Amino acid sequence: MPVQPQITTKSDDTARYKGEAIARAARVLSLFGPDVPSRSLADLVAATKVPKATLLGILDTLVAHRMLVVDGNGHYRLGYAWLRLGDVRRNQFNIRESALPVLRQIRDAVDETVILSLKVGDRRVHLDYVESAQTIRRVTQIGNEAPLHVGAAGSVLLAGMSDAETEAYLTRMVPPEARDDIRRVVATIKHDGYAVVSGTVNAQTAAVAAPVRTHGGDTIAALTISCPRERFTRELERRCIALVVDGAGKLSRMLGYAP
Amino acid sequence: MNADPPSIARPGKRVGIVDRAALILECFSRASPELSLPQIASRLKLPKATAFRILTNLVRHGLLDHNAAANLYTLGFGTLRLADNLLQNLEIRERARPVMQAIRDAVNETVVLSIRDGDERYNIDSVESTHAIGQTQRIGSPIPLYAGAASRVLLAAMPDREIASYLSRVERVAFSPATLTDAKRLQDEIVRIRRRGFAASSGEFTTGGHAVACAIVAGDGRAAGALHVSIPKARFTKELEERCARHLVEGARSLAETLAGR
Repeated sequence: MPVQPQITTKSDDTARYKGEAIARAARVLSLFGPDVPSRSLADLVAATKVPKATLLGILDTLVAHRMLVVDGNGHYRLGYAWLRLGDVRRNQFNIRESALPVLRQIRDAVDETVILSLKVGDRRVHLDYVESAQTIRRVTQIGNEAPLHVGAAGSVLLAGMSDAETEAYLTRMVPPEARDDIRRVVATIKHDGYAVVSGTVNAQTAAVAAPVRTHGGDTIAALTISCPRERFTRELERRCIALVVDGAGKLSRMLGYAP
Repeated sequence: MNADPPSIARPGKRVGIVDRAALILECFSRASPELSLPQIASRLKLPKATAFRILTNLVRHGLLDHNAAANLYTLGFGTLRLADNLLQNLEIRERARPVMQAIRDAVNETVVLSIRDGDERYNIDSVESTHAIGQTQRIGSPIPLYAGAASRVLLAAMPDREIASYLSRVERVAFSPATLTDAKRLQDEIVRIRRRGFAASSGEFTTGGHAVACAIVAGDGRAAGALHVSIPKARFTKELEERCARHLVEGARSLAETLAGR
């Protein structure tokens, strides 16, 4: 992008230029990932190919809004503003509302508990669920959290991360001797497109989960059917897999995911 | 990592359009998660055409979603992903892990790490007790600075002038009958926390939940964060509370040294 000409008018050029500035800001933000906690100015100039003076203006603006911070080494990092905004996003009922009919459909088809969970940091958090009407059924709560490697929903979210992110997670959260098992689980889920867990998290329950993806292809949620293990026959397992994969596919399409 | 990192912002140099895009994102809150174009335009006193252009760009980059049927905007998944990346990359989390695990092993109760940003506290990590019953800690949701032990150790670490400004500025809502909201009682509690080096609270969010907290005080006297132990009613004793306080004070000090020595 060339430097903006001296005289600006309300022409299409200006409009495009303004869109460009937001695109550049968004690009800067996207350069911080799980493996890249901080970046120097030189690094950002190189990655965005935006002239330094122009980029500084964008960076200063983001810093002013605490969307970026400058750390002790003079490097840029994501700022705490995202914690607040992410919390608002997580709490809004929209995904829940649009997902609810899908959850109900699945529940009505198998009469087992269906759960929608999100990934929050290193954990999966249950966002919503509809319960089976049977007397003996899986119960849960909205807001229930567990580490990603525990359970079907979390494993699906873990399998949705890049290999580097998964490894970083394992280093942070799992003792060395347990990591290989989880790597195997993740590889299986990546291959199958769903997760089946029976009796490993909790001796009494079984669960089948599939990933919900956004338009960018990121796995942001997991759809799970969970039931008492004694009911979890081969036949029910097959039906649950078909239903959960189909339901997660519907939700992904709602979010703009195109496989 | 400080709660208030140094800022190099030079207000004169802001990029207007990015500034307005950020202001639009800041319009969204728990109280108003969905907004229409006219609402946003009037709130920021922007011409509708300008607001629309920015909104369209923010949607394109995943920071906003547009519900075409209702013609309403909400924050996009991009914000969730950025929050996630931020959480994953907080340096203090890595440094605090071994300390938190040591405290958990010593008292077998859930240990939580939190930081302050502006007028809010955020839990950013927890190491759970191995007991079946324990309180689940919400990670990444804002908690006000007046309520609960962990918030108040962060408050107590602020300069007096900032505390006075906070207390005069912020409306305080009681989450339970036990929530401290009275300015005088909060000031007294701050004096007590500074004298004892830790804080204790009970039932300020949910009846029966206890917490013991200690600030992680960096070299410059500011709190880099706080550690607290959450104890359910069923296991609470004064003796356990004191033991937690000892381990927290010790853990917070060694963590502060680690952070200073990097």
